[in-house]
Formats: sequence, C-alpha cells, structure tokens
Amino acid sequence: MLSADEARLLDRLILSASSGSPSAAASGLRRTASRGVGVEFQDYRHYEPGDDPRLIDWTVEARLRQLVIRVSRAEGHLRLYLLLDASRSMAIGAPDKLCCARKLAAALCYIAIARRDAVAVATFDETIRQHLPLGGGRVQLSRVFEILGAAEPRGRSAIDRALMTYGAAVRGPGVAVVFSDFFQEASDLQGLRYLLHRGITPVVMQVLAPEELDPDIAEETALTDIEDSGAPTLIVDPTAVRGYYERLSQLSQKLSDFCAANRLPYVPISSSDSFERLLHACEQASLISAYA
Amino acid sequence: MGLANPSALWLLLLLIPVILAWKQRPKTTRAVGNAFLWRRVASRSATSFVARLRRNWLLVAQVAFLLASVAALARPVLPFGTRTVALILDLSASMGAREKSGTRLDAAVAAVISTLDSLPRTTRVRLIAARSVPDQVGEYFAWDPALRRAIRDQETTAGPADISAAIEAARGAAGVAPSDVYVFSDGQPEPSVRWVRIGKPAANTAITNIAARRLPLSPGAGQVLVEAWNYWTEPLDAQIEVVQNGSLVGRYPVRLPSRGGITVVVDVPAVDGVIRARLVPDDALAVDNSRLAMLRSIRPVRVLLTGGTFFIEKALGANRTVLVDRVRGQARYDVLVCENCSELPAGEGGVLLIPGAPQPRVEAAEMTLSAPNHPIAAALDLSGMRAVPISQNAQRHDSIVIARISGRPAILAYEVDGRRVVELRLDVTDPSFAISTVFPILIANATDWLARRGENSRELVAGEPLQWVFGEKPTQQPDLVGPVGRRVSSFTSGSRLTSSSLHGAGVYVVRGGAAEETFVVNPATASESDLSASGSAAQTAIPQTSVTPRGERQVVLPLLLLALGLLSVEWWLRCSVARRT
Repeated sequence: MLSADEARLLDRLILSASSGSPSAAASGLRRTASRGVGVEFQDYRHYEPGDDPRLIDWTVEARLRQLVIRVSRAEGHLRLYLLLDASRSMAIGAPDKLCCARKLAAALCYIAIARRDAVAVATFDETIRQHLPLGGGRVQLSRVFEILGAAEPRGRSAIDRALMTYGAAVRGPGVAVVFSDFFQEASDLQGLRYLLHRGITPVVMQVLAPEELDPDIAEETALTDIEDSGAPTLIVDPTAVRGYYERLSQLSQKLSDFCAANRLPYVPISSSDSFERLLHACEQASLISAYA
Repeated sequence: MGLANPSALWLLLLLIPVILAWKQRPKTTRAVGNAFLWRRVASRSATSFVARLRRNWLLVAQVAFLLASVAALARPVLPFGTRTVALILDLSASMGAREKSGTRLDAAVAAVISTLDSLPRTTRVRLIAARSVPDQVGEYFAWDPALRRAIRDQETTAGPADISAAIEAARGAAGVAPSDVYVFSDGQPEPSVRWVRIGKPAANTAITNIAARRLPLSPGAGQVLVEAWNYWTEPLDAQIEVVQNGSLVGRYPVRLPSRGGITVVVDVPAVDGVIRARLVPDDALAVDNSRLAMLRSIRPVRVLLTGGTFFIEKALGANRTVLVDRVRGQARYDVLVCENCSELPAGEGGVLLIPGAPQPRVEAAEMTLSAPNHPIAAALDLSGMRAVPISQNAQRHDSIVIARISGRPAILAYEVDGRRVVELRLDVTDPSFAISTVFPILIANATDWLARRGENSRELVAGEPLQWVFGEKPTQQPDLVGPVGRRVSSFTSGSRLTSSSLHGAGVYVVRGGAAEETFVVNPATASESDLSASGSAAQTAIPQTSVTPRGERQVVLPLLLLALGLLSVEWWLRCSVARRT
C-alpha cells in the first residue's frame, strides 16, 4: 500500500490536533491543540459565563482586576474514521479515483497508527459495505490496509445514506475523513451534517479525476452513466463543456461553503496528483502537519 | 442567372457519400460518473440549431467546399446589366449565292458570330429567321452554345424574305424590347436597324418561267414553254435541258443576251406529269436555274344524270373529261344532275339542279353576268344572250348569283352541308340558249366547280402559303411531304390542309385523300435572281456595339477562391480535431 519512501515521508507527519477532541482514555503520544483539563499550562483567556469558576486564576484577577481562566493543554489520542467511497463512479480516471483515495487513506492511517491514534475504516457505496472498528497498533494497520486494498469500485453512490448509516453506528468525538467524489444528485449533504450531529468532525476529501476536472470533449461524444447502465446516453459537444464546468463548480462550491461554515477542512484533490502533492494538500487544509 | 456548364450540377451527387460518411462515423463514447452534471447541458446542446451547426463544423465546411466547387464548375453567369438585341438572318434564295468562300449565308453566319463575340456574354439575343414569314428561332444568352448551333442550323429557302416583317416581329415579340436590331442580309438596308450587308454583285441567270400544255387536236402531245433570263451585264451561252418525269426530253443551246431573256418552246410527244427545265451550266445561284411545271392526268368527272334534257346530256357529252351515267352504279359520283328535284339527292357530290318546264311559259329576256370572277363564269360571254327565266323559291341568303335574267337570279351557286349546288333557274329546253356556245361552256364550268376540279393549285412559288382542299373527307391523317422525302409542317382542318412552310423548290406530295396528289414549288426568281445589285464592293463592316458592356459577373474566380478557402478551413478543423484526440 505504501512504499518505503512514502513511509519515511509520513514518519515526519502528524494529524493536526484542531481536528476533533482527544479522548483521555488512551495514552496517545500526541499533544492536541485542544484546550481542556490537564496539567500543562497553555494560555489564559477571559472568563465567559458558563466557564468553570474553579479555573479562574485569582492571582491574575488580584493583579489585573480581570477575570481570566487558565487553559491547559490536554493529552490523549485521536479517533480517526476513514470512510472510503467505493461506488462505480470512483473507477473513473487513470489512475482511478479509488486508487488515489485508497493511497491517501492508507497514508493517514499510517500517520495515525504511528502516533498511537485509533483508526477505523469503512467502505461504502449505497450503504456501508465493509467496516473495521476503531483500533490501534500494527495489527490494526494491516487490517486497515487489507480492507483498503480489497475495495473495488461497484454499486451506485448514495453518500448521504451511507454516512448517516455509519454515523448512527458510531459516536464521537473523532474525525471522519470522507474520501469521495461527492457525485450525488440533489444532495443537501445530510450525511455530513449527521456526522457533525453525532459529534464526529467530517473532513471532506473530494477526489476528482482529471477528465472530470477538465473534460476533453473535442467533438460530438456519447456519454454513458457508469453507475446506471440503463440510463439514456447523452450526446454532448464542446459547447456543453462550459455548462458542465459551471455545474461542477457549483457542486464543489457547495461543499466548500459547507465546510467553511462549519470550520471543517475541505481538500479537493485530483486522482492524478502525486503522493507529495496529496500530502501537501492535506497539510494546507490543516489536516496534517509536520511533527514538532 | 444562367449556367454556362449546367452538366456540372451532376457533381452535387457527391454530397451523398459525404453526408453518409459523416453519419456513419464512429462517435466517441465515454463513461462518466457524474452524468447528472451533464444531463441538463447535454439536452441544451442537442436541440440548439447553432450548437448542432457548431458540432458539425467539419461537415459544414466539407459541404460548403463541395457546393462552391460545383458552382464554380457550373460557371454561373449573373445577368447583371443585361440588354436584349435581335439578330435577323436573311434566308431568302439569294443568300444561297456562291461567293469565293462559301455562300452568302455562310458569310452572314460568320458576321453574326462575330457580332455575338462582340456583345457582353449576358446579352439576351433574340434570333429571327427571315423567310417569307418571319420565324422567331429563340432567345438565348450571348454565351450560350445553343445560340451558335441555332445560327449554323439555318438554311436558305427558295423564296423571298420579308425583312420588314422580321424587324416588326423582333420588336413586337413578347418580353423585353430589343435595344438593338441587327439585320444580316444582301438586300437594301432599312433605317433604324443595324444593317450588315452581305454579298457582292454577281452574275446570274435563271429559268423564270415554264408552262406545259396539251395540244387540243393531238391526244397526249403537248408543248413546253421555257423562259430564261440573264441578269448580268454580259451575254451568256448556255443550254436549256428539259426533263419529263426524270427522262430527258432534249437539250437546247441558247444565247442569253445581257440583261435580257429568251423563250424556248419544246414539243413533247407525250406530255404528262412533272416537267423540269434546267439551265446548264450552274452559276452563282443554282436554285433558280431549274423550274418545274406540272400536267396532271385528267381524272374524268363522273356525273349521274337523273332526268335532264337532251341538251343537258349533249352538253355533258361534249366534255371528254366527263363520264355520264343514266343509272346509278357503284361508283362515287362527283356531280349529280337532278331535274325538278325538291330536295338534294342522296350522295356526296355536287348537285346541278335543273328546273322542270316553266308553266306558264314566259318570254326570253336578256342575261347579264353578275359574278364574272366566279369559276362558273370563266370564259362565259353573255353579251346578247337571252334565256327564259323560271321562277323558283326565294334564293338562299348565302348563294352567289352568277347570272340574271331581267334582274332576276337565273344561275345560282351555293353550298349546303359541304355540298356544292348550282341552280339553273332558266329554261334549258329553250333552243335559243341551249344550242348557243354559252350553254356547253356553262355546263362544263358548273361541272368543274361542282366536282371541285382545279381548285388546288399545282404550281406554287416558294414562300407562298398552301391551301389544299380534299375532294372528300380524308381517309387518313393528312400529310405533306416535301422534296427529298422530308415531312413539311402543315395544319388540317376538316378537309382543308394548310401550310406556310413551302420554303424549298421541288416536288411535294399530299397524302390523305383517296390517292396521293403532287404539286410543284418553284423558286422566287422575280425577287431573288437579280444578284447584280446585292451587297456592295466590300462587305459592310460589322457595326461595333457602342454600348459599354455593363458586363457579366465573373463569379467563377470568386467561387474557386471561396472553395479553396473552405478547403483550408476544413483542413484546419480536421487538424484541430486530430490534435485534440
């Protein structure tokens, strides 16, 4: 799944702590950026109604006549849920989108396992096809790689339904990285909303093939739906590409706006991107960072 | 607009394989995972005409290239600034006169072609053939090869040409009035037209007259009178050759005085049929060196005499061309003589009505001729003639009174349902009239008129119209055949055949009656044989067209450039498609 060079690259990375809140149950080596109950002082902030009065630093109050509370750095491990769209639409591209998603999912799994975070994985099309519960360690890594390697693109897409099904089965906190093209007609992103509702922070990894980002329609072309063989063939010509761009842009913008509104990472990637470029995209989205 | 090469339009059939190949081309098929994103834009692009046009640019370019190429090959001619001219070609007999290089007609044709070449190609040309009756050959563009073919197909006639009528016909024809009228003729120029005088003065002789007759006292024998004329200024030694029904009768040397003529009378032992007189040797104009005469075999008139008197019978019997029957036989009778008949007897022939004896008898009175030009009155001298009138019923309103007695109609002629009737309202038993010299002449004339004998002229001049009357209703579709067996156009109405196409000299045959009938057409020597005044020392120069040609649109070159441009576009489109794929 990952080459030695790729693994060396990943050894220097960690998942960003801004994603989700750690659980105090396990002894993950990661420091999280989340503030919570802990020993190590991190920062002060002004008292807000609803804060625990025991966190008020009276010393600062006596000196500055301001109510402030201490913020400590919490310690614990991250729950990472890797959700991989394995519908037939993920077979588009060379290399196909599923291959790219699989690679990136494996990389994130590797990073998480190396930092002793817990990882779960699930593949879905219309519903959850395969599921591996949270776990850690090398055994979990190999199991995740096995499931990722066995995923084949088949079935039709029903992302919202699949995410809602998965969200109902798990609870937060955690980070759910959804690898999909998000090609679902008339979707109002109910699946992502439900994950949020369940306390799981979704990370949107929109994987698109180069021919989907820039379709090369030079002449009259017949298009068939890869997921629905019974659908009527569409005849398009170069004049239709502009309209397609607009609709694709609207779809991606909708995802982007949703993620921005909910302060979620949105990572648009192309299936032809190199591994380094994929990691760079994740880094730019603050999903991963260099190990400090 | 016209096409100089319309046969190139057949190349449009090449569009079929081009379009078929386009339809059969393999379409690119692609599987997509986001068909819902394409669905709406695909329907828009499929139905929009502009979109359909855009996605088939290559086909459009190929079709446009093919259309432009075919149009260029078809050589369209836009009639921009078109004018109409009329060309009148004199086809009279004199245009057949030989000159150094061909005939006058050849020179005229060359002059016409030269005039055509000087005209703008889009000029509409109205071609008129000037014969005795002008004939509008057709209207063409000046560039049209069919016009040149039509000009070269014209032949001279043996008759005159009515140039004035041709000019009027050219100007009065339906369509645009010609801006110019060109006349190519060897005749005297007329004003208001562009006259191209053809031909030079030439020496010519002609047989101007021929007449044949049977000798009254020698059955079968006859004489042929031939008149020849020399139109040139120098005397000429020649021979007159007389041929009867293809057999030579004799050759008679003659010396034709300058600008004068001679007459030769030839005795022919058994004169009959077609007699030809020919002047040897031929000169500038050959058509007038020969002339035909015709002696028709006398077909007896069959007369059925019912009643009648001794005098009638004697008068009929004196005519050796009449066969009289007292009893009706199987033969068809040309004339029925009916005495005291209240109605016309059955049959198809003419009827000679003779009244019964007058009761009471009146005195004879003076006869006068009322219709001297009628055939019945031919050679009828009624001076001093007296006859006894017989009162009859009122005369028909359409009857012709040939003669009167004391002002009252005595001899009437009319037609009833196609049958000719002669009424004698006088006492034919009165010896004072019956044994006069007038009576047998009257009976003979009446018999000929009733039998319609001699009604059809047997000798005509080229260009004259023909009116041929069949004695009875034709048994087959009437037909007119000219010299050398060529059918001549004619029109038949009832028992009358007419034709205005007797242009050539020779023997003609009329078919349709009980038997074939022949007549001869001779050249119009009176107006055509004198070549001494035709043309001038030098042929009149062809008038140059003074109007600056507004010209035709030369669209061949732009079309070719367009085709090349479209080919480049098509090549560029094809390369673009290839680069993208």
